Amino acid sequence: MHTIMVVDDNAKIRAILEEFFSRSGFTVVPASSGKEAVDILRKGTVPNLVILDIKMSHGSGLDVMYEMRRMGITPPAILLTGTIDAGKYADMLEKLGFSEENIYYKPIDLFVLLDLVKKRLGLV
Amino acid sequence: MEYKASILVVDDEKSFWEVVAEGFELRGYRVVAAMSGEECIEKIKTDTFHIILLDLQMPGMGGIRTLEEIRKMNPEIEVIMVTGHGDIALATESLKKGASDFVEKPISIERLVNTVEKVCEQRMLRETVLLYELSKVIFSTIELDKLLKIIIDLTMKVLRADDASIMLFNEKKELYIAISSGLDLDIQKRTRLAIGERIAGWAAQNKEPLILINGLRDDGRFSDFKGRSEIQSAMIVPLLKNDEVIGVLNANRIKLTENFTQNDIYKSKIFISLVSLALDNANLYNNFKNAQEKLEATHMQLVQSEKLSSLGRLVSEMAHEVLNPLMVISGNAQLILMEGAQTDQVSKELKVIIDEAMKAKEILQRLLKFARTNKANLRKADIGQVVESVALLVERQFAANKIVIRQSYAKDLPHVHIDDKQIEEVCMNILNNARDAMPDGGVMEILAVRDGDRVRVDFKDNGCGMPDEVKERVFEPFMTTKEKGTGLGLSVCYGIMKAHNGDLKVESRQGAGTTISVYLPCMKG
Repeated sequence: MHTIMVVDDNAKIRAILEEFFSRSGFTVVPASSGKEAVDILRKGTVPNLVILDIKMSHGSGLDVMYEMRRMGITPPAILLTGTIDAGKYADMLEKLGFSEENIYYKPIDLFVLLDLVKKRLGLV
Repeated sequence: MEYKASILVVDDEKSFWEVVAEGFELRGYRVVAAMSGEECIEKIKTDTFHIILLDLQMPGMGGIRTLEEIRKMNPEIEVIMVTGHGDIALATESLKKGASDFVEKPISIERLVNTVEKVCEQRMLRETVLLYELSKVIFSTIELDKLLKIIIDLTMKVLRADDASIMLFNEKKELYIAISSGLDLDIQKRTRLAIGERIAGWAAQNKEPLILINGLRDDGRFSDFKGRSEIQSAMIVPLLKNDEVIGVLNANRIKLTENFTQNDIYKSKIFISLVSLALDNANLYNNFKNAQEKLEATHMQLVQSEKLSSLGRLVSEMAHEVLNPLMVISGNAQLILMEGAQTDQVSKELKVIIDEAMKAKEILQRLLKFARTNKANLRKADIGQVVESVALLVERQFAANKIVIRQSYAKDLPHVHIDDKQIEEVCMNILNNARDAMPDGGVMEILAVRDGDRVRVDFKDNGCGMPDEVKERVFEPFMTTKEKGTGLGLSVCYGIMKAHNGDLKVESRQGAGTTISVYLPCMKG
């Protein structure tokens, strides 16, 4: 079974994603901030894919990606954001080898997201 | 050597003027003698005198006739008549004809000196009063246009000129005719002189006044001053501030046969310095006013862009606040849908919820597109082609609305650096607005020209125009007069033009139509 880490500081969105992906047959590891996500990763959890909010109060999605890169873990990542000035992060994303096209904007159709996840995991 | 004054002694008796000459030279005057009225007139033509001691009784051209001639030539020379005993009747007549005073022979040199000094004092007083009056008038205004007019009028009076002009420097340091009483407008507008070029330029370069007698007729440098051959004599004076030339004053005599002399230059020195000072003041004031206007314009622009950027921030933050709840709404609806326990009716209703959430997202995205400072993807382009392609796109639709499009593109339009997709969006926006402003049809004129170091494209419609209160707010986001408009069109255009280092300007009069001008910097090289 694939493990998806869902990082979002909005508890309701986290709950929706957790519920949806569990029902869709995934193991979901939720984290309420970038900081919590990094702590979980440090304790040895290695997810097959991460879904990251960009702007959060403690540690952004980009911080998480940067940490993972340092730890040598590079699961596929989907950035899910409510701020649409992703252009602001373009430089940082480029350094992380991440193209702007992998950013998705809330609200997203959950089934569209599911397709994306399956694609990234090579399940389809 | 400085003299107190120059005296011309006119007497046919050599012994008389020798005594007078000695007496005055000892007291610091310059004395020149003439033996007759005729010689006196000749001397006046070539030399400058402040005072003439004129014998009343001379053979040939007598004292009275000589006086009359002097007055015709120069009303400003003080003439003191020297009369023989018993010539009172003639002496009185000479006073009526403009002599300043008279003395009787036999002469006491002290009395003569007293008389001359008294006359000099009166003259100085008159000049001082005149200068005071002049300065009052000259400094009565600080506005350049009014001042120039005043100076021209005074120049004609003070220098007894038939016409006059003032040349000032433009930003390129060329002399242009700021005002003229005689020249026609066309010559005024055309004339531009570099320092040193032609006569006025020469005066400016050498910082020296200049007198020309019949000069324009013979001087090839004035060849394009057609129709000015009637000028009898001309005086060209540089206007100096400290040691810097700020302009040139030209005075011409046409009807007056008396030519300008060095004396005129000498006499007008104080007048000219007053003129220079007043012009300098007006210039300073003018510069100050221009700077102030520029500042105000910049301030307005700043307010405008500040308004836009703070609005952008607001929109961006608001979007973040709204997008998350939208995700919660649509996400929960999808979770319910996923359970599959609901009726068809509920499924339908859930789908409506999800669809509407997605629609709301689209609206927010459109807003954010505006709020985002898009970096333009600049490429070399021919602005004419870009505009033409958009015009082609709307042509049919305009024709259906009975709107005729007329296009004119200047030849050799310089290339511009633009993101053509963005500029097309700007043109499209402007054209759509124009179409809406002409519901009963009209004419849409598109004109592209070079305007300094920019290319300007005017979109001129003859539609309904807009009232001032709309015009002022036309670039503000959410400002719309249309029922279905978002009010973002022109704000987005404005943002795009700013990102191109260009500009967008609106000219509009209610009922008369609107012209929107797009400015783009020319590509260098």
